[in-house]
Amino acid sequence: MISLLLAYITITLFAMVLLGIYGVATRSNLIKKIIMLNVMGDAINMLFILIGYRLVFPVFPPIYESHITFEEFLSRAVDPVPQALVLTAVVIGMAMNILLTTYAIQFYRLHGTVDARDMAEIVGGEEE
Amino acid sequence: MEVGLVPIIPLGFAFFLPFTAIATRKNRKVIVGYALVALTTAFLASLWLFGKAYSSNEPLVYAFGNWIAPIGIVFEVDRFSATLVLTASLGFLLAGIYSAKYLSEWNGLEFFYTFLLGLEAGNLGAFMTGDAFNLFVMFEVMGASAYAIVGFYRTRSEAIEGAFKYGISGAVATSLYFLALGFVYASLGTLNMADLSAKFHGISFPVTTRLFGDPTLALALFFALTISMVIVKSAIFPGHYWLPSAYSGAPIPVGAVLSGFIEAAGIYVLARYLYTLFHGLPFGGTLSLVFFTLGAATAFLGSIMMLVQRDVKRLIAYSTILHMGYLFMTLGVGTQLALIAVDFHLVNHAIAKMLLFFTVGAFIYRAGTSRIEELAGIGRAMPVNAFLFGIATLSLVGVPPLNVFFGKMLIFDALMQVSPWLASVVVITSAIAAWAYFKAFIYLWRGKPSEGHGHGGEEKAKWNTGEVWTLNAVEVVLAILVIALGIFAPVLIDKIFHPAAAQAMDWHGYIEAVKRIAEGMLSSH
Repeated sequence: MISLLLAYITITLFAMVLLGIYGVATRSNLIKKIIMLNVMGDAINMLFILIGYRLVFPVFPPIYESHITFEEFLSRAVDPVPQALVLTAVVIGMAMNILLTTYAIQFYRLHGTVDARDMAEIVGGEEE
Repeated sequence: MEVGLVPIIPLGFAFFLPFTAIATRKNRKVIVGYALVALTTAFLASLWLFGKAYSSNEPLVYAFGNWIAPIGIVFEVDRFSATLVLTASLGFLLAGIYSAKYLSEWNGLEFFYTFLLGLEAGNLGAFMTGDAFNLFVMFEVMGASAYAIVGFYRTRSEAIEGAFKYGISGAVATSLYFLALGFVYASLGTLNMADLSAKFHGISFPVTTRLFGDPTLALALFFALTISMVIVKSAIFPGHYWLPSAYSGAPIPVGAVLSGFIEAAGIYVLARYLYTLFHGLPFGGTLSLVFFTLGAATAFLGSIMMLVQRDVKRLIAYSTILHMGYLFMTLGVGTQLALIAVDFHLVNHAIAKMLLFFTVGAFIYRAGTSRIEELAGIGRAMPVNAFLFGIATLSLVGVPPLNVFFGKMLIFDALMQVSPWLASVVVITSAIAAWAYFKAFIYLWRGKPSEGHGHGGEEKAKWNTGEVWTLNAVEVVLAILVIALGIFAPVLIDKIFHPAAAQAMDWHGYIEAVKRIAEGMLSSH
């Protein structure tokens, strides 16, 4: 039962990754593109958390305490590495969000639109 | 001095630059001086690193905080990395000097230099790192700085468009690489490059986990996602769409470093994974086919699109796509000759392409436009610059005494090992590119006769005619390098690039260098 649930979550997350790429490619609104980028990024982060997860009860935090045997610790403690990776990726994602949103706002200030089609038209028109 | 300090130097200087600018009330001279000191220090450090890598018989290892792999993050620098680090830091230094003059009428120079230094830090870090996740972080450092610096002309809509396109494509691409790391971590249980290689080759490594699941499947997914990252980051055929807009929006010195080094980082990553870590992959043949197909498609696309461009910046952008296609194609060969060709061409292309960007930048600096029609005839007003532009184009086309010829020759030889048809792609696309450069040169020198002499005359009167000597000085340095690298190419290949490729393909030495330190550290505790 629990492994069925885990498979369901994994498949959903992979579907979200694909959905995110689809959204970035097809949405014409710049803000929606940024939102879809975040959907994708967060799905990948969740997948990473799942890699470190242990299907046991109770799960220990990855801090070794002397009243637990080492073997038990190994089988029950959560792997801390994926969490560290996700923490890094989340910070990077925030920086990327700020940067991309700044560009969307800047384009809105210049031309009053956040639509990629208008953007292509405006820039293409200037080049001609 | 420690190996790990080299990318920290530009990063540290970048961090304090905005504060320095505020403290000195944005004094232009202080900002430029500060940035040039930082870039020169980084260059000297790279020179030291280069000497050290060539005097040592095995890759240099630096463990951050003395946490040795696979527990901590390590930098592992071999000769292949060292050649690229040296070229990149020299290129960034020259770009920094060039920008001081080129952007002398623009505000916000402190942020420009902050991002330029950030770009250098990420770039050097990506070349030096020995950890697959650290590579992701370095790509993001590089990426974030690049997306920011491309939008430097923030009141121009084309710059904003280019930066947004580049930013969102790059962010998706690096997220895919992050997902790739998930697969490889889940199966191989490590992210250290030496440890990954040891697991792949069945060598025991201290303090590491057992394999889980099917490592071949995990590696296949890892390579599929990593290649899709490189396709976007290095502008290979289906992922090249952002590059022309980004380059035409960016300031010229930024285009130069993006073209020479940031794109090169993607190619470097694949070379590192394919030639050092996972040499002899069970699905290597399929990957080669992907490299040949996409690389040839990219080369044709780049060269044909060069013919129809009416903007010089876009012309150079498609030329970059063309050369990335060559490199991508050569990666698929899988022999030592191919790695020498990739390494040598990365260095040569970076230097020649920087010269091309800088000469075109001097024209744009005078004329204030990058459209070929409006630049028509400017070559005669700036003969020295036009001469240097000629050298750059001849070199990039592949005329014998100049440097790119030897890179292309090695690529040709490497592709001949697979098929003469593939090798002919290099010749055909070079010929098409030569025609495009020739057309551009004729425009710049003679002007377009059909478009009215009176109008052209007014245009000429508008220019502040004459050479820009500060910019020319930087160009002359690059031109000397273009000629010297060409003339001494046989010696350089023998003394520098052959040992570099030999060491990069020695996976045993790559693993041993980290393993010995790790074992030594464990036994001492």
